[in-house]
Amino acid sequence: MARKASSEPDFDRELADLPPELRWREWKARVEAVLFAAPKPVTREILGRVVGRDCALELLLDDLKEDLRGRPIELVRVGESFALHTRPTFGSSVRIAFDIPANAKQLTKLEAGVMMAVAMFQPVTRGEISEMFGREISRDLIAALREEGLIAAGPRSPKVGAPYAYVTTEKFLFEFGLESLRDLPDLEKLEDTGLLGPASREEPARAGLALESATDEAPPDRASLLADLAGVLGLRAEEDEPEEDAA
Amino acid sequence: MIRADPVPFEPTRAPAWARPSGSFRDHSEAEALFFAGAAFAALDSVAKSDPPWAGVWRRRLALKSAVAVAANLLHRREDEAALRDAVALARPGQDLGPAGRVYSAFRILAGPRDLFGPNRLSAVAADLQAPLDPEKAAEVAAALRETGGRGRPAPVVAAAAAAVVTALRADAEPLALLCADAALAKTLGWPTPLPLLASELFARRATGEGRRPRPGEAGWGKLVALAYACAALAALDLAQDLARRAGRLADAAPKLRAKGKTGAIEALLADDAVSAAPPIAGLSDRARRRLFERLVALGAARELTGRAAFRLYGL
Repeated sequence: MARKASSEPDFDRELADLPPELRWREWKARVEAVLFAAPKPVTREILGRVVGRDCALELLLDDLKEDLRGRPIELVRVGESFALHTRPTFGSSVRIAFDIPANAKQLTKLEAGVMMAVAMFQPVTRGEISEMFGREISRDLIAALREEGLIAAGPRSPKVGAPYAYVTTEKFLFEFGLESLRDLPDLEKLEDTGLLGPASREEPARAGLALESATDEAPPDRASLLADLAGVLGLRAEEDEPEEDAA
Repeated sequence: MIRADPVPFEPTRAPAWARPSGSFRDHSEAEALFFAGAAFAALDSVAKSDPPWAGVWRRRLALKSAVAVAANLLHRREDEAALRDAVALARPGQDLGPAGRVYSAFRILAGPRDLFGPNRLSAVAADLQAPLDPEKAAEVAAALRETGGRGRPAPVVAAAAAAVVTALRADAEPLALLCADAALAKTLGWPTPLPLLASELFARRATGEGRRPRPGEAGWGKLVALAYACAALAALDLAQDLARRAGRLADAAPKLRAKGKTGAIEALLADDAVSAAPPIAGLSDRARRRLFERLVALGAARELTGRAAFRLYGL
């Protein structure tokens, strides 16, 4: 991509000789081209290399997003990076076309639940997740999520054996279409609105590690809620086949 | 010789009339600013001097603010103990988890470096879940430098700094609170910022029942002033408590016979929580554990976690 600016000596970034509208359109086209060709999310800094110095990149991206309305692809923003994705509704078409069998990447319900448990309660250990779900969560499952790059080992927990507590990664945010962890649903609010059922009564405001006390009473509720949540959010995790046949 | 406390430093006491009695609704902005001014005047000598226990003090204030921000703005449920564990037990370079990163951001604020450089600002912003790219960080830094006008009351400058940050990025309220504290310290001429604002901003007595004003909204200035008034007095109370505890530690020092005791005492005075695991010069692994246990037995230090393993010690 735009890695070596020097390889294109006569690349005109500023486009000073064009009238403003044309220049804007040209810049937008360039940004779209870069996003299309990129194999992974593109940071703002990289996009800045193909547009003029006085270009309001933020507005340009908004404009681009607006242009893509009604098209099967959309502009997705993760933190400070951007990418083009197919829209979720076309996920099945992409899967059928490339014969992706129930997608190797797709998480099972349990994996999705564990994923959400880590997201909501991080840093959290495997033991704590097991208690939350009322069943043993295998090391393999955790390893699979780590393999995918969705979670990573964080600080070690001050317990017997000093187990690793797991935290989510940037990639998790990207795959699930979140900008930051703040976009996750607020568990406390869900409890307040009664979505979580009986679990809401014994867990008012205690912190992450108070999970043990909460889970003894109603593990299935929380487990299924987490899995369902993952299902809702996961709609976006399944479909991501970024348009990456670059060449 | 132990130079932990050569001259006992006695923090000033705030006069009783400096304590605001009512809630957000009972006071006007002028009254709130008066209380803030009185509290800062009392706190000033402590914030400017460098008492031996300044390290603990700053970090405990950071912890308080971090817990408040994590719970109220970022919907994290980790409590004080969890944050303390995350930072005290982590190895360098580890991801501390979202709440732990908030604590580490506040520790950076309470550190000796200037927060308003673009690089540091964007590092801190990433920890607070509102990442800024370099351009934006430079923009925020420039805007923050402009707010610190001469001759304006410090709480007003702090409130303006917070409003500037949220105006440039709406979801960066945690960062705004951090910048307010940094701007305050600059205006008051404190060498290191004290994390104050966030610790009292969310208290029920600060806002009463209604919706809390956000940075830049009507009532924000009053809320900031009132929160600072309460927070500065709380910081002063904490300083008094720590001065007493540091005195007790200094008294206990001659009773210790371990060679590396100075290092251990300095570590206790420098940080909120100390683990016996990392090396201290002159003390073996076993000697460190024994020394800390002995300090606890003498009443000169506390064990903060109540656990049998992975224990953390502090003043």
